[in-house]
Amino acid sequence: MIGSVGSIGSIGLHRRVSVWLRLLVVVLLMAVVAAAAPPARLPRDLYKSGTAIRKAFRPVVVAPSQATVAVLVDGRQRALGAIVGSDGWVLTKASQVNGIHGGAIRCRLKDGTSHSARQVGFHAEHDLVMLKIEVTGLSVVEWQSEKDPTVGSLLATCGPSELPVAVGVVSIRRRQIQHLHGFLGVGFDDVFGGALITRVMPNSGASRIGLTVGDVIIRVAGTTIPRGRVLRDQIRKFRPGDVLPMRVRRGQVEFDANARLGSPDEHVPNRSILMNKLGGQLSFRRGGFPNAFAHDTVLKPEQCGGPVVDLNGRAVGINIAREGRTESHAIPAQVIVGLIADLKSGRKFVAPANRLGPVDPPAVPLAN
Amino acid sequence: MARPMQPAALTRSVPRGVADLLAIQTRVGELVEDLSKATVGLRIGNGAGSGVIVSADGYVLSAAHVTGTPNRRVSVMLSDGRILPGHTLGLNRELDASVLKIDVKGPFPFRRLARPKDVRTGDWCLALGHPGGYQSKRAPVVRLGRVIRTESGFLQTDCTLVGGDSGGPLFDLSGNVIGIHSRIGPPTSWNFHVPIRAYTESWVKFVDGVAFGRRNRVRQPVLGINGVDHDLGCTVTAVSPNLPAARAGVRSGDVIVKVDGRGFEGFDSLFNHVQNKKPGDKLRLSIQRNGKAVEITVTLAGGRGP
Repeated sequence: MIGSVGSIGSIGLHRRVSVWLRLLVVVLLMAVVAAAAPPARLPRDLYKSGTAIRKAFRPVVVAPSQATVAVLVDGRQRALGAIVGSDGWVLTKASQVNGIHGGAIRCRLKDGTSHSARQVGFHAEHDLVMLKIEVTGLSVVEWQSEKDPTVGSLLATCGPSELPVAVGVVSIRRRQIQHLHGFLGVGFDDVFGGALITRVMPNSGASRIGLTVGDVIIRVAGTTIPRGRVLRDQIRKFRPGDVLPMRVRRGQVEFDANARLGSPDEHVPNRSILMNKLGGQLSFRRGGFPNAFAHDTVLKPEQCGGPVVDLNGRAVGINIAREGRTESHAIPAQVIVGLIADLKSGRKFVAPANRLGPVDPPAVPLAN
Repeated sequence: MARPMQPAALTRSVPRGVADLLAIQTRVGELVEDLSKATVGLRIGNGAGSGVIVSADGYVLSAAHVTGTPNRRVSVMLSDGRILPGHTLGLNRELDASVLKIDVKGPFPFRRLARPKDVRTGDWCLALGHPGGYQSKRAPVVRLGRVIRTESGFLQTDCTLVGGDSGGPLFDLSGNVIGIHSRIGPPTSWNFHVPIRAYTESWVKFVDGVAFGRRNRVRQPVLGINGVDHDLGCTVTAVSPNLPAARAGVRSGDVIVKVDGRGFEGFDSLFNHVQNKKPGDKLRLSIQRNGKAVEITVTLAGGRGP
């Protein structure tokens, strides 16, 4: 069988492409309305998340904004975070602050002070990391963990500021969010005892570790690769951002290499991704959550990781991903509350590579 | 006749604090279940989209680009899991409006149409539909927003839409249908809906299965970028391949500070400037790129408007 550059690690995407190609929406790219008399438009500050509307939410976020931090990596905001212990415990979105960026982490509080943070606990599935800053007497998030907010409930996403970052409503009740497949960025062919690389995509995980055409991948994450299809199935068990350990044969030499998998949307442009990116960047890690509800709040990736609160100012969850043009995901408070003690204790929930079980075969033939 | 009576909290241009927000939330909560029941997923040939049932005997509103020509077979997916056969009726290509009928005896859960004149800029509204396509285990997805613009040919809201929503309903806070999802543009506030008058004014034609209206062929000026507001103008966040901006060398990350030698405030302002041009016109962009000043002249292309 012949694999292609686009096929590896992106089978689900191919299937989605086929679905998406059938979804008929006219996407306007800076197209424009007739230049007749200027129509009556709603002023921007009256939009749902406009300043005037967010001001109405000010009383709602007075308390929780005290318990929200901006998480900075090398001086740039990468996420928001929720203070979950008055002696300096901060929960945030892991993939925004570690791994990909790997710089010095600081938390900036609402009072403007900023404090060096270290990573303590980690949960791969939920994409959460527990940070510790050396400050005491902090306000902590008050959780609404008895029940999830119902569809249509108004929500405010807190920042360490007077007004909420943005507001929205619950769109979809909690469910499991499927994961995106990681993307290695090679095309391959079958050879005896491995997958022969026939193409390497620029700026992919494969190109960054120097894989070249002619290399043969013979083992991945401890699994022998007798033929190309097995390689593809193995890659599909990993997510964007995961590190894929592999053994490679080049000529007479064998060596080990670790490739960090990319996201298919960086490499395989399609209509779904195009449409979903209309309106802003999406989170790099935006799938594979065991439990999340969706809300329509328009967030940037660096505005995830902090508390999202109901009209009583109680946190109903942690924003965990900007998923698409219509949705942001939040992990319900009930789930969060059950994790806090373990994550403070320094536990690291690193899911095994085969955590995701068998994956369905592709629904459409591979490209090329 | 006056508009349907609404509590003041639902009609104020700015909510007066948390009490008004609670009133909005309560109303939305009261409506959501019934609105979901009337919202359907559609599968037509290889196409998919959304729709809304507007009569007990199973008339469904959708968008012309979803349903296509009259007399096509349709699968109608109800929120209770039933998948029912139906067929397409008439369509208005110009306004992107269409109607279909479920071929099974009702009664079905439905929502009424609002009176067109009751739809006003600033109204709170709810968008339901099946973004990404119908999923049997996911109820219609709910989004709240406001009517940003009411035109004879379309409504604009900040209820975010995406592929699969097309044909789905926009409701007012009385639970009546005020529009049908049609198209989107780059900013999250560019969500365009077929206005309800498109259906009410030509209802008989739709029911008779008439295909009418011409797709708007007027070419509108196209630049081909997406952007966000910046203190100095706007930051380019995406450049569409093969459109004028890309061809002229505009790059993602560029900060556009002047257009035709004049400063402007934010992406919308740039948009309005482009709007007043014609395809073929030239646009001079003053750009800051990595601290350097760059001047780029772009020749606008032509495309289809909302």
